[in-house]
Amino acid sequence: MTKTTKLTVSIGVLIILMLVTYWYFPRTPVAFPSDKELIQTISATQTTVRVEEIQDKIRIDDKHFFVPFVSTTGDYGTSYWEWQNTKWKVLNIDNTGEPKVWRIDSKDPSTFRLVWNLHEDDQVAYMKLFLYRERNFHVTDGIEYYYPKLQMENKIETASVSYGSMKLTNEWVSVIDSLIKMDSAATPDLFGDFDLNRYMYFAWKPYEKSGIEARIEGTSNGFSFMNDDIELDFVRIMNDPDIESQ
Amino acid sequence: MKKGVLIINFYFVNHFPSMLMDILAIIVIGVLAYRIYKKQDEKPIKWKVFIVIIIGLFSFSITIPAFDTFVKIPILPLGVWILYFIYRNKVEKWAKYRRFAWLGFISNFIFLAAALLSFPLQNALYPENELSTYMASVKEAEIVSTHPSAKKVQLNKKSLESQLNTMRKDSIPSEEWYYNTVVNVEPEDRKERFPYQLTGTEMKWGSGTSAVIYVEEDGKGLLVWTPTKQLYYRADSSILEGGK
Repeated sequence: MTKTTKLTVSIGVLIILMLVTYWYFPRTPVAFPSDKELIQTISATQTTVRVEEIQDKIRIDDKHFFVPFVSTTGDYGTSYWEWQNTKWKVLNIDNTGEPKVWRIDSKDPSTFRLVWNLHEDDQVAYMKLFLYRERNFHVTDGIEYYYPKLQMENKIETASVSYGSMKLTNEWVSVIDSLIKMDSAATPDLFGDFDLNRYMYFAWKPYEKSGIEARIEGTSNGFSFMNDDIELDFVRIMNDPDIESQ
Repeated sequence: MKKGVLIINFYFVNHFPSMLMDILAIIVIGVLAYRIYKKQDEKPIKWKVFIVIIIGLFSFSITIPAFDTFVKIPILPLGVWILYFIYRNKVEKWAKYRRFAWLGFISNFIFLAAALLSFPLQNALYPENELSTYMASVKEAEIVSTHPSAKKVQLNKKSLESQLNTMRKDSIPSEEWYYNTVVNVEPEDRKERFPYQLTGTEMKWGSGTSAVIYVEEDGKGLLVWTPTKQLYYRADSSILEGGK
């Protein structure tokens, strides 16, 4: 090989290496985009929701942001952002903000966040979040099972702003964690997904200032656009007859 | 512990008996390979021997229920056939590696035997019905109220520790518990029989299992929910304190 070919080959290899490094090596996230950039990205991602105003940019960790917004049609929406190697990507866009549980790492409940953006017309002063499982029993192959009822409750003030993000309490985390661990010991499939709803689910109830149940007309029945993988649990409305010892 | 899994996957994270037996199986395979190597006059290349054994492992197998679990039995030596195809025009070379290819296939049975032998070890180290399997350490244990009928109580660690080995296993009258709680009782008056969860306990090291433990309202009963069954234990005195 002549000197020139050697040089060309080494430069070529170097360029390829640099490109590979650029695309595949995770880098520390750059600053979270400005409101204007966020609005543009949301508009470019789907065609239904148009953002009027970004209400806040809530940092969950280095790589995850929750962004509540008001749409041009007056809806209170939510969007979920993740740092992916080279850019901030929007994972999901909702034009209503019913409470959801964002499982950042589905195996670790301390990373779970309750997020919401309730329409101001609904006048929700506070809400109750429930961790819930119905009492049950069954007998399989002569082994008897009894499942105690799970009903844990957490009151959350929502009066000051329409949106919010909240960690689960330590008690909730330890209860959920024990269920996840038992499930993964039963099926040690490294790629298996934990189906939380087999053991428990989240439910909520909105209240007005006076303590009566709030009607959530402005907050329900939304459009949801999933742009990338995200573990987002729907939080159902708590059924009154299911609430015990009140 | 779901036993079927032990056989289907060679490797089981955190599970000491299957890890130990798999290591023994690998040693046995290594010894067999060494003996074949010694006996042969025509010496093969060592790293190729290694690869031939790995390819020899590939097999078509069927899974049949046996010993309360599922056993994966190798039937067709796919790896050996692949190697035979590769060496089809190199008869002399094939003669050097043929035995190692078959050793790879036979290794499937050695792993199968290892998995079967890990069961008695499993039962000896981590008896399924012993509370100590699921509660090796209670240092970090705490009580969490999981139902509104729970009272404000704390864990009495001394009471729990002193009774760990004396609690009696009892049957689970699940249907009776359920109906006694709900029949003729309005939802607002219902009291859960197990309104507390005991969290932060540690399983015995290497057991690879995990359990959810509920505590009875009187503080004297433990309902242990494991991946394969539920167990119920009764103590003489309460493990809870406080609560009016």
